[in-house]
Amino acid sequence: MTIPTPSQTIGPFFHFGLEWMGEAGTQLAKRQHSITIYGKIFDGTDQPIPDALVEMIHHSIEGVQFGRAICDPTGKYCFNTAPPAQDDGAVIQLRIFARGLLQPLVTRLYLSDTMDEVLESVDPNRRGTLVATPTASGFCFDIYLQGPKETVFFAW
Amino acid sequence: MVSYDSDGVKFSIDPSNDTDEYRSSVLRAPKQPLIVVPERLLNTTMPIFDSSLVKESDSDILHQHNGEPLGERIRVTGRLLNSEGRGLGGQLIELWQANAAGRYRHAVDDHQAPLDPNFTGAGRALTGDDGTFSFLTIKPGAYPWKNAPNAWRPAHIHFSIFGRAFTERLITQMYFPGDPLLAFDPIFNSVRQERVRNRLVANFDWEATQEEYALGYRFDIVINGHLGIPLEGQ
Repeated sequence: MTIPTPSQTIGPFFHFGLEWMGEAGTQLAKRQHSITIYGKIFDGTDQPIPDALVEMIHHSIEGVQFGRAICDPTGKYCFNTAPPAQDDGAVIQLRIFARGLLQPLVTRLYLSDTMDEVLESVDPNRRGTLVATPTASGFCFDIYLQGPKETVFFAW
Repeated sequence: MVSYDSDGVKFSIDPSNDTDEYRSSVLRAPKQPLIVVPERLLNTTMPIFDSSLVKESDSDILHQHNGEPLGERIRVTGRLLNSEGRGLGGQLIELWQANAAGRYRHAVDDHQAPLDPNFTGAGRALTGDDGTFSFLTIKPGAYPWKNAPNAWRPAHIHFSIFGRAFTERLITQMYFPGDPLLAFDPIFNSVRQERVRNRLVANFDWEATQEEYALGYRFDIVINGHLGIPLEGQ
């Protein structure tokens, strides 16, 4: 077996290299049925981090949905995407890249607290960190990297 | 992220986020352990990026402006492989880097080195059927950063690889052989095992060197070709 190439941080200066894909992401917004998910990512001092890249992936009835969002200067990320397929448990997987992260963080955004095999493996006291909050403008999913509200992150 | 089993020893390929020598990690690395779940529960196929999104010329970073950039021209070639050594074709690779003076085309980069009007420093390519890729660029400069007094990052090129499955996604950095700064770099050395760390260092390559034009470097990238295949016993 060949040794795989390890991860390294995305660093702070990736924008000019990775923002080209933005247009591919916005095509999703033109769909008849779309949902918006958004939020901020907070560091250990509860400050939003302005230099993260978030990627999302999930299944809809139209197939695999992928999106890439670069946090704005206030730390906000936002996706417009097709609603997840119901048999996929209404889950959206997120991967967070940022300066300070030598390997990206993987988490799961649940649109409701319907239980699945992954959620069952999480301490009940921490499950709430994975469930988005419905709002007037979509689903809000804030991500805490540290602290009492630290979001659950996954490995395999 | 994934354990590697060799000679009965399991270790993680990827560096731990809990690496205090890298100062930015202190307030950003999660404190709770990652929740380990079976790979099949997280895995999903990745989207396929095709030639409608990527032009052949996107891999030529030397000719994106009216003039040619300053610096040492290099060709970075390699193959994208799975962990069984098979080439992975039709895969999107993105690349970005600082210019020859060690400055990124980025609003937040305040290093006192000149920008180059003829260099953006970003490219992309789809791998050929056997996984090959080739980028024409300039050798990036080293640059100082505020991680520690008089800290300098070794010259490096950032690579982004999608893979076929969610668990294959990779962002990494390519370094240059013989760089004296490697020994002092906490990001490079966050990969604790030397034989894994050395995956990040390109090889000088006469074959890829173009006479009177550009020096060649070879950088093969191996993504964890799992797709549910167990690592044990390989």
